Amino acid sequence: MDPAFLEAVARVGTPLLLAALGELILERSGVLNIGIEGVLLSGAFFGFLAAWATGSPAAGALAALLAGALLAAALAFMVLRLKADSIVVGMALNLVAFGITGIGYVILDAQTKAHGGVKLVRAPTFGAMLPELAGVPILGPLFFDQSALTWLAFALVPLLWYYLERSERGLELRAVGEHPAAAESSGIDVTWCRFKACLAAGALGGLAGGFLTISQTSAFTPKCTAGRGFVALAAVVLGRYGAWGTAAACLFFGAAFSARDYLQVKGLQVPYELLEILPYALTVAALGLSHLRRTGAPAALGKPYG
Amino acid sequence: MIPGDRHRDGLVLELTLAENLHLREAFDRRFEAELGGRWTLHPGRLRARAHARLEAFGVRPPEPELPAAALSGGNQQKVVVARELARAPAVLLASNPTRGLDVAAAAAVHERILAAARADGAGVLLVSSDLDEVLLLADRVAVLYDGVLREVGARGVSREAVGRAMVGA
Amino acid sequence: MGESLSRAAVLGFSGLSVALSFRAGLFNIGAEGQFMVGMAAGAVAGLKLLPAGAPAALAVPTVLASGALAGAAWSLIAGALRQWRGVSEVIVTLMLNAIGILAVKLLTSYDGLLKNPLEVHQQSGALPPGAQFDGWGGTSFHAGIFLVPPAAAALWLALYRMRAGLSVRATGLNPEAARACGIPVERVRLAVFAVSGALAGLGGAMTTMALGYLPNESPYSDYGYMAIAVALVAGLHPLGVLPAALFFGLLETGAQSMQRFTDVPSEVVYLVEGAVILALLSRGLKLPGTRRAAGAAAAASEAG
Repeated sequence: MDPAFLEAVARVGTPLLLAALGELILERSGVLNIGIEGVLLSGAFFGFLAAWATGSPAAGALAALLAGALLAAALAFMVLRLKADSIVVGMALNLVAFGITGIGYVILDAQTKAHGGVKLVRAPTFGAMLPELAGVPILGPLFFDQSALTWLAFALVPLLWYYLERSERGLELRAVGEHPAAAESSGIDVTWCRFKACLAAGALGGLAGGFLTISQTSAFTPKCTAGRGFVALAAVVLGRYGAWGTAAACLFFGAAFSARDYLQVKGLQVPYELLEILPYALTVAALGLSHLRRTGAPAALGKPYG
Repeated sequence: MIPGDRHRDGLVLELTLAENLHLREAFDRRFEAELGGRWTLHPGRLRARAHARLEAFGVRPPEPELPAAALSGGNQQKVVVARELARAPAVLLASNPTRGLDVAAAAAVHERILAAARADGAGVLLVSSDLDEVLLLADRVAVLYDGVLREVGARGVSREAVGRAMVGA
Repeated sequence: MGESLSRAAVLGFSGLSVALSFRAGLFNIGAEGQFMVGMAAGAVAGLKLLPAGAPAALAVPTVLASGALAGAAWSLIAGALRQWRGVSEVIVTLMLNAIGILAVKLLTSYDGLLKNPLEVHQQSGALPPGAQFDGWGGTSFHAGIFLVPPAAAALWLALYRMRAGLSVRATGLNPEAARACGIPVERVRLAVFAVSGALAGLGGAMTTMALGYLPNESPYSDYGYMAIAVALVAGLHPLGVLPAALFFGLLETGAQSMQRFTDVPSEVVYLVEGAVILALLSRGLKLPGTRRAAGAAAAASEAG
């Protein structure tokens, strides 16, 4: 297989992986965040803003993380405290994020035009840090021409698996998602546990958005997340609510989206839009082929508690 | 059927009493002309019928337009009983029909179940964890123990006999 | 004003679609995608099915019906997956939204499909004159707008004066009780998926007819999501959808002219709509599906 293609899969898969792993933590605790698209978008905008203002990609990543966590905290307040329906709250947060980042973009655009264009800020890749390794054929670009965030995303997969399936904390989280009343009676604070999951998911989602603007494209345009949050949601379902499954689903989506550009470059005569439809259609088909009641969804997913 | 859990299986708490009372009849062809047309429901007719039935079953307050959630548990249960007995069923399945009710409301429900059986000839299967209720209403008493249903006796069977059957003796 | 009304009409159809779904306890957030396939199917019917000289009496109902059917079919995919595979309609409708948007792009991008080869822009050729809703007096006010109030009235009638409506409301509020009373809850849900999809699809067909061609992307993108705000402001009441849709239609055109004359970007509308939903929810607005879950939890704790 073409190493350039593999490199693209890892790169395109990174924001999906970050967002989906965050969403996985949250959903295992029993909360659904449809507002994940908005979380990504805020991360993308505020990450870009901070990186542009300070010139430091690390500051951008931090801002992206905080912006995502802040929006997720709003979700937590509405859903956990006010017991509002998580799906409608999530949709509302998406609209809020579209609005804030859209307004922000217009202001930023006017500002930068006045100062002679945006200076691009890009997170350094490991290739830039270790140029001798990036030169290794095949493995070089695949492993060392990636940004630190890609490494982080992939490292998170086994860590999250261990946390969810093997650690005591993970057991508590799963108990909260499966049977909150039983968890509460064994001394777990359900609301606090879900709140922490919200923050973690928001931070990872924000970082995923930040990756898009400070590592992948180094520019922000309105709605530049282009539905990646929703794709991450689907990846969790497709991955049957497990860390490895979710990661595999993210790489599948990464491969599908990369194939779209890859085949274009190779001059293959397939309508671009058809290639774009393919991953979504395959998701619907895969969900249709999955067996009833074996989806692995937490029993209390999306249900208010207390 | 009178379900044991009226909030889950019996009533739609947000719908009005008139609507709750007609949740079965509205979808029964035999009552089509009485309630409206082929597709439609006439709200005035629903209200009038509901009012009459709420009065007859002693539901307080007998206001057809109130949401079911506004009633006390006892009155809610009376609404469920009123709905289930409205079509003069041949068979009635009652599961803990007086759970959580006060004495007066429980007595009213008992009276209605007995009337359905005695006057209208309905076969009633009462499932209850309230021994007094069973002894008061039942013509025949059976105990389910360890997966086996065993008849214990007819009306007038002693509390001790039922108690022994309940511990498997 | 014409622009506000034609925006309100689109929001109205999608708002009715969302209100009906939410009433039945279904989180069908696929109005966006159903609108897109309605728009596409309307164009296919107008360009491929109808002869160019088709009279309006034939063309208008054909195009509208195609849009409604396509919307219903699109929505039923989510309904069927929920029904027989236990897959949440939320995820499926989000995927179907993405596919719907891309499908319109696909159709208008290639000469062999619907793209007009003579046109520089990626868009379809013109619909037969009989299948177009012309703007009146140079405004964007068109005859299709008159479809919305009757649709709202019909939905109100169905929900509050018909047997079917009682079964929909009972299913949404308490499916267990509805099932115990012999209401075919599963069939009711599928029917609601179909009808709400048809409503959103009608909005799509209407949009194609008002434009006179199929555009490359929706001129009203994200209205399927904004329709949630419309439906909630309307209290999920069909007749309430009319003023709510009008309000948001005016807000949208207001924001756009504001952008033209001041520095306030029109994206402020998103912010307002999101904030309106959050404000309504924080004031204790509850939806049919969720209130029941809370009720069941209360009943369970009462029993335990």
